[in-house]
Amino acid sequence: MGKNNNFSRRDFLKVGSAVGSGLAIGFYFPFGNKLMGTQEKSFKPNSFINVLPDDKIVISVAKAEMGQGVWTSLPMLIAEEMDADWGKIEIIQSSDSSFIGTGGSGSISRYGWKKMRKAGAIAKYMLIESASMQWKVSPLECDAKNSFVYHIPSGRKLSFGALTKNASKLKVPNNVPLKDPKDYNILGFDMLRKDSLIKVDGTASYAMDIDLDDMV
Amino acid sequence: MEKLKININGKTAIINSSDDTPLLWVLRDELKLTGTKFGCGRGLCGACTIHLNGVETRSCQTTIDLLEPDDEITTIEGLSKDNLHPVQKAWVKHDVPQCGYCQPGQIMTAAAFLKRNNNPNDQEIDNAMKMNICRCGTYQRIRKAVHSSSEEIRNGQK
Repeated sequence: MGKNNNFSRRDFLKVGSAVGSGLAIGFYFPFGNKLMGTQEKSFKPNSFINVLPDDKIVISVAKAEMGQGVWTSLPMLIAEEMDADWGKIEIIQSSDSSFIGTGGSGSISRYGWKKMRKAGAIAKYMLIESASMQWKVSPLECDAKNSFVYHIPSGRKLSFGALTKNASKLKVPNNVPLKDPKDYNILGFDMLRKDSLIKVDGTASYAMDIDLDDMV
Repeated sequence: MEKLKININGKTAIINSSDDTPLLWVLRDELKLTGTKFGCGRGLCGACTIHLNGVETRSCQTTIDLLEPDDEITTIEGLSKDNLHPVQKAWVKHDVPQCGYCQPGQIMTAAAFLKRNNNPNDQEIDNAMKMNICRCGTYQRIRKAVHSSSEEIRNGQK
């Protein structure tokens, strides 16, 4: 992200991918609680969806995973709207913020429910648009499922990863439709937690594990 | 003072800490192996459990002057490559960790226990694991995961 703070006042932005080439969408996920107030006025993205050419989707979460499950629940909201393959999603802790915390039980109810789904829907829309341009068909004839975009009439399909290069050249759309909850296949279902691996091999970093210069 | 050498996760480490330092602090502060956690410092909670010659041991209660030159120490970082120990796999499959802070200790206790008893019943599991405390209350899933890893261990030995 560099030092550039001149982001436009849009909610969702195309950004340089933090983890490699591909399609990267950034947005601001507010921290806020009664004590700190809500920092709604900042537009520097702190959360990202990175769709990589190898089909991996790296989602950065700007909330601390303290056992409450945000590393799983927030990405589930994105994956649902993206129609992404849950197994291809990897989580990283957002690191461009000097403060990583939780905040008043609002991760889902106050912000995530709307913002994460919208972010996922935008990513899907851009991938579908990219596929439809490549096939020279209408995007309305295309749909996404399990990290692939399908052209329904012809049965052609392309994986999300194969579409990232062209998708990253497209404009971020303003309004995209969200899925009807009756079509959900991730939200409302038990998904395995995304933070288990680092918690069973000792690599998960807790405040006590952080080592700084001149620390006593 | 003669410097102490210890065998840890298959490698030899030369230790600068003083003799009365608990192994936990040698691991965490000197060797930067922070997977082993500090919980109570009194040997009551199990967060600091490591293997000493294959046996689950409280590293916060083991000062380094108690170690013999050929003692083998294994920490959570050395339990397996790529999370492939049957206990780690079962922990992931059964979604055991919540906050995860106690889990390295839980896993080290379970792994050592299953070497002694690869077909435990509920009561034996509860008995083996009861000195590892979990504030999130993941005990039901721990029991399930110990059962499922014992099955994998038995199948692997056939």
